[in-house]
Amino acid sequence: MNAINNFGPPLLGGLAVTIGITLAAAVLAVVAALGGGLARLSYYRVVRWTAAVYVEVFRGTSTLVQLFWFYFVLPFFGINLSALAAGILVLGLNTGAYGAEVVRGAIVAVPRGQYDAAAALNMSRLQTLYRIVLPQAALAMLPPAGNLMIELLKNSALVSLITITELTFTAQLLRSETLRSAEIFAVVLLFYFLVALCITGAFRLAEGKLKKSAPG
Amino acid sequence: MNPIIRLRGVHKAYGELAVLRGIDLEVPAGQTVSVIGPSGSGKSTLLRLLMTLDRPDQGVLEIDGESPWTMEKNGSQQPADERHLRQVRGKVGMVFQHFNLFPHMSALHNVMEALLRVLRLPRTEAEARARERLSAVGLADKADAYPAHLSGGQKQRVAIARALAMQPKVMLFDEITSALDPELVGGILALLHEMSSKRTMTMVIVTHHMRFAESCSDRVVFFDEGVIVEDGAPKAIFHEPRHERTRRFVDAILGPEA
Repeated sequence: MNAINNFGPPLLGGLAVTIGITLAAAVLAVVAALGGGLARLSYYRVVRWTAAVYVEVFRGTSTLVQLFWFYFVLPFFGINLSALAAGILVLGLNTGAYGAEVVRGAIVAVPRGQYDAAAALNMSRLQTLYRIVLPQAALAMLPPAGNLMIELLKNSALVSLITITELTFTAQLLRSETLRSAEIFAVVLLFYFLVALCITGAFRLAEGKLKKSAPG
Repeated sequence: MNPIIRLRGVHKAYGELAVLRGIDLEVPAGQTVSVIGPSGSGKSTLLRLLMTLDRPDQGVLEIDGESPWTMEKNGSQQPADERHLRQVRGKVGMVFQHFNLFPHMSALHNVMEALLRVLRLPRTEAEARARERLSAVGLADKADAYPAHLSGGQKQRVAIARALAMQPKVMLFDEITSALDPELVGGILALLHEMSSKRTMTMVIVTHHMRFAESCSDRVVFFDEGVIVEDGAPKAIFHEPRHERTRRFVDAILGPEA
């Protein structure tokens, strides 16, 4: 309790940055996951391949190295990103790459008969996707998406290594001033845990809502 | 009068498996045709081609005088675009063996969905038509139920209402009682009978119910191994088949004395 009283307030600023980065990256991740997942199922080979390259590159390389690339290497090619932009971009695209596989899997799991029924009712391909396939796939996507969001939250600590003063970085600063490692990191762990708990709760809520509108 | 369905030399294979091997068939508008034959004989594939869910590898398939897969453009036949395909497809409706209801929509919304989005009816009109169709199949009180809470027979009724609401010229029924408990079959067949007796739609019914095929169709087509073996009036097919294969199939199902 004492630890929270002493170190909670100075860590709150960092916590806010962590939450902000996570939220921004989550939005990007959702867009990238939907785009990437649908692209992997495209009729056009070029689109499928482009999406496959994106997914495999981001899944197959270290997130930390990706961060260094976006922040330290891209300037050599004339692309200057702020630390915040680089952090959000890498975290979002990284989570999006895993998410694309979740989206693809969930869409593929929608039974063939649903497409047949939509076609027999003369619905267009786009209508079939938005009205029939995605709403059913969404329910299957939620639990793994919740996992990915928690991963994203935890990965956000990495951006401390490109100079962003988020929760972990703030803790490091505080520690070098006070040398009270145990208390500080106990509070940091608690903060991460509480945010993760909120994410879990939000996804449970969304799942319940979806299930209610589509029982069975 | 032009036939509403016309097939000439239609072939269809799935991979190595030749499912249809040269089908010729013409169905005049308003006729009810039952398609019978052993499983794996290509009956369901025929319906998938007629619904334009799959395309023939070879041969001519026309619905109401138009090929869904080719269109005339600058005086020559070109591959059809999605618009042409949907224009032809809209004349056909289908009810499936496994219902294929949309699980995330209530019965009412299953019926309304395509009325709103494909026919672009105003909401009030779409709902009125959907409710009317649901009560026509005896499900007025189940409009708000989701498929998961309906019995097999009820689901199939919703599927029938959903297909009928689109008012297609041709309705296809693919073994629509095969997935139902025996006690529910009679009600669905009675519904089919009622539809066919109105003579307003062309109906192609794939079925294993020989007595039903005999009593309510104008014509019976016997399929075996991807070809039409025999095609004629129900009486002729069931009581004086010209082909040995037809006789054996009919005998096996109805018993020799039937």
